[in-house]
Amino acid sequence: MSLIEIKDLKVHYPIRSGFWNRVTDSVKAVDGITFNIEAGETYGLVGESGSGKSTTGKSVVGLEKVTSGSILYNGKDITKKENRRKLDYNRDVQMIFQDSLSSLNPRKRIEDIIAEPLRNFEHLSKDDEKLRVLQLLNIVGLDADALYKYPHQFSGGQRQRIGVARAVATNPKLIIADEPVSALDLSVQAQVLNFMKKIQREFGISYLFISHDLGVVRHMCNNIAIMNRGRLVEIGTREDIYNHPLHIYTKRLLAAIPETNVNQRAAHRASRLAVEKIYEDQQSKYYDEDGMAYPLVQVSPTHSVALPEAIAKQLASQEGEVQA
Amino acid sequence: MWKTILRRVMIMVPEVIILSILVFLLAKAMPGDPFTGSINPKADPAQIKHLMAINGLNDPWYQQYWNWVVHLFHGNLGNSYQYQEPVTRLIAGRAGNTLWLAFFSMILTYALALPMGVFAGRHEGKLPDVVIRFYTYVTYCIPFFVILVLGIWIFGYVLGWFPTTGSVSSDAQGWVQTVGSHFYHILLPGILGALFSTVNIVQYLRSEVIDAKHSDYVRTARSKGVPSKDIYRHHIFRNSLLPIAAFAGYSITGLLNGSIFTETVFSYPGMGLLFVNSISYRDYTVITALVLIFGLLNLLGTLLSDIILSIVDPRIRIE
Amino acid sequence: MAENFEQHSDISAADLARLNQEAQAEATPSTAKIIWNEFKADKPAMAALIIVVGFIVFVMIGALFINTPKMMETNIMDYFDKPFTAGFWLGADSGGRSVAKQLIVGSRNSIGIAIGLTVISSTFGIAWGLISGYFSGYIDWGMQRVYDFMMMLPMTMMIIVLVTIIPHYNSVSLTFIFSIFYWEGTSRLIRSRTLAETQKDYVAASKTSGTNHWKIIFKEIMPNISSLIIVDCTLSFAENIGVETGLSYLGFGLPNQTPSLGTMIANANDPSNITLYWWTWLPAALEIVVLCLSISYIGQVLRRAADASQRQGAAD
Repeated sequence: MSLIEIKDLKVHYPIRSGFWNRVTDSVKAVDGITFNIEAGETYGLVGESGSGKSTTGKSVVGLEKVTSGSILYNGKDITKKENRRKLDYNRDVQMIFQDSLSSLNPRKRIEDIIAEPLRNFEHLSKDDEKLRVLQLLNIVGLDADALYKYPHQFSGGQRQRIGVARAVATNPKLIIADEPVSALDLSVQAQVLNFMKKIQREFGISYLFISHDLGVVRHMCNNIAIMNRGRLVEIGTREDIYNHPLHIYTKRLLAAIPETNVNQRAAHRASRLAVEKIYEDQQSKYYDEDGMAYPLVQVSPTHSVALPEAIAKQLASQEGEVQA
Repeated sequence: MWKTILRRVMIMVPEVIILSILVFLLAKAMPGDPFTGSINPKADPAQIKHLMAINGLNDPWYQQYWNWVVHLFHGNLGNSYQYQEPVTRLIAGRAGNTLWLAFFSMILTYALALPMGVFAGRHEGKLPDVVIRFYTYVTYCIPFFVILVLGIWIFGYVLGWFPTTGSVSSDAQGWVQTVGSHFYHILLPGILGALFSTVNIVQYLRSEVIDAKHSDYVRTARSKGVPSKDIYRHHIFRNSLLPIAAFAGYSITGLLNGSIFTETVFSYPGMGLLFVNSISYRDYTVITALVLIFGLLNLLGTLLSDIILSIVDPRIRIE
Repeated sequence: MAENFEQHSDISAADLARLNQEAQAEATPSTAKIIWNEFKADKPAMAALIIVVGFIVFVMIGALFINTPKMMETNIMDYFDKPFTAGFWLGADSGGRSVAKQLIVGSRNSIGIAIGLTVISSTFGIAWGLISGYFSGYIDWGMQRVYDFMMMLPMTMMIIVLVTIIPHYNSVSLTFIFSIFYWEGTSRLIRSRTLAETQKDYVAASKTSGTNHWKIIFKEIMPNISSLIIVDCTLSFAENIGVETGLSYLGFGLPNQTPSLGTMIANANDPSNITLYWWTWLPAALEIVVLCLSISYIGQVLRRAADASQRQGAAD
């Protein structure tokens, strides 16, 4: 059994209009997505801003009111509030936020920030609690004197590590990392990511790693889902996605990864333009009449793509993927 | 646009109904009855009972309320027990005075606030700005009735520039003199009311002007060599015109609510003074009618402001 | 689970005590400290603070030494004594009662009610605004409709009607009546700030940390808008002095035998009093002017202290 099973998840925001302010339409932030997260893995959820990936993450951690569909954890549907309460769900599923400054209460000291989940879920004695907080700080590589400081006294990278420490405090099974490094300098990004990896190794935590940056995702994730306009367009292993992308949207994202090798800049630019041209020309092939992605079809045991079956097969064989 | 207004009005309906019930019950709950004092003090209790009965004051409250509402829709608010005349006529006689005073104050408010706001913003940090900010600070802090009392003392009594009581001089003859006298009487209370209600507009306009001064389009205009007088008139002032107009609704409700104080201090026969007098006489019918009217005026004032604002800022319309 | 942490960290219980001390020294300056620095840097503000606090303490203590019923007795011999005559350094009113003593007791009453009103109405307004802003949706919608309704009520009139209904009111019940009508401004202000604050991630983080709504509202969000609250309370206080005195001035506030700044100013209603016997009302009016100006000035300084970019104090 997977750690988390997301089935046909939908999150729609109503649009009210008209004289009586009735619901006349809805914004489909997340429109029927299905995937599983296994214990101990890092699952990447990738898409441009507005694709619904953050909403998905918030639904999984219980911050978002789900319109329909289910999220199973230990066989219980945690989209229902009472199930979350019964399970002490957030003890096991935690979150790291994108904006490290806004995610730490500026009026609280680091000790109180990190201890917050402990106080609600673990009820340790005062000394045990403080010890645990110190250990957590140590794990994310911060000095013990951080305990009594306030968030604004730290750099962005340090703050994000504090966010990581808070998320790890209750020793959860899954952490939703919502663009955890995209607000950081490149040099600091790697540092935070390495801490996250280290913690994963030592504590056996799974991540749902949400990002728009396929470069970072490649560094972190085993399995990846690509999200576009509220739907999944491609699911696969790192190998599938990076070496055999099938959907044009995935190809575009991949082409957008900055090339660090200066010598190949021209070639990179050419391939990016080629992908862009295909996208312009063949939109109708990859999206249905309403501009939405098709349902997913499986092309290999690990790899699915949102295309009509025939096209998917044809593309897959072009890419030279071995059919099951 | 029309939908917004219509919906606002629809929300107002239950508010008015609840207000009318509330007001009616509160007036009923006031101790004493209008008869005990008003007729012969030696009147026999049986006669008072009889009077209560024929006036329907012994019925259950909901029945009294219903009768009142039915009469209300016939334009009949009952009779004043104190003045022995229909409430509608009584109030109609006073409403004019109150509304004239309020409108006059409002016109003065704008006449004072607009130049002050622009001037202060234009000379930000310099002497005029400091003076005007001090002025807004003083008028904002000091309670209205204290301003009124000090005002009538200095300008009405000590300097003797203005009349201190009534709405028109009794020896005014012919309509020219009458109108003149009326105007003379509302001059001082009107000015004091205006001083009191300029604060918001001055502060808003000042900060608008300061913001606009540093905005790109004004800089562009300046660098193109547009004279600064024109910049203020055509670029900055015109932009903030509608939000400022929206203050009209709020300031008129403020002025109306202040009328109780204004009219008491100046013994000015308007609705506010009528209310204060009616309270002492337990004149239910007048009290209920006045509270209801002031509630409605409050609603209309805020509605006016909201409508103007919704023209300015479409985001408000969706809400 | 604890072993899990032991394994991967080399910090032990022994380090705790040392760190406690070390870290305490590095704490950031508290809000109180920042505000104090701001007052020290602004001399007029310091003067205003001293005037207000000194005056309040003076009337609170002074009033204890005055026998109010005895003071309010009519004494025909001293009918309208001028100021600076024997025993009446601010003169006497139409009942031969000392204006100075009335002023002290009246200030005590009026300021007391203003403080009470500020405490009650601000507490209510803050709670209302926080709850309304935090829970969006139906709760907010309902609370907003109540707010709209309250805004429609003609406040002064409603208070007067209520005061006449309640048979034996005193300063306490009066304060509560006022409080019913004076929380809206605060609640609106707090709500709009809470709406913005609730969108921030630390609120979401608290939710995922299992903290319940009430704790999030009052322990997480409220401290973050504390400076706004302090400023608003101060400005409300200045405004609230006008509430009771205004009503008493009209004759619907404190009863006749209880002196108030408002009832003293009401002496000015008599055309002969207002010019001939100016000392019966002018001191009270001037006192209100000075008090309100000083308190609002303090409010301005607090607002500046709350806004880091405008601070004049040396802190930071």
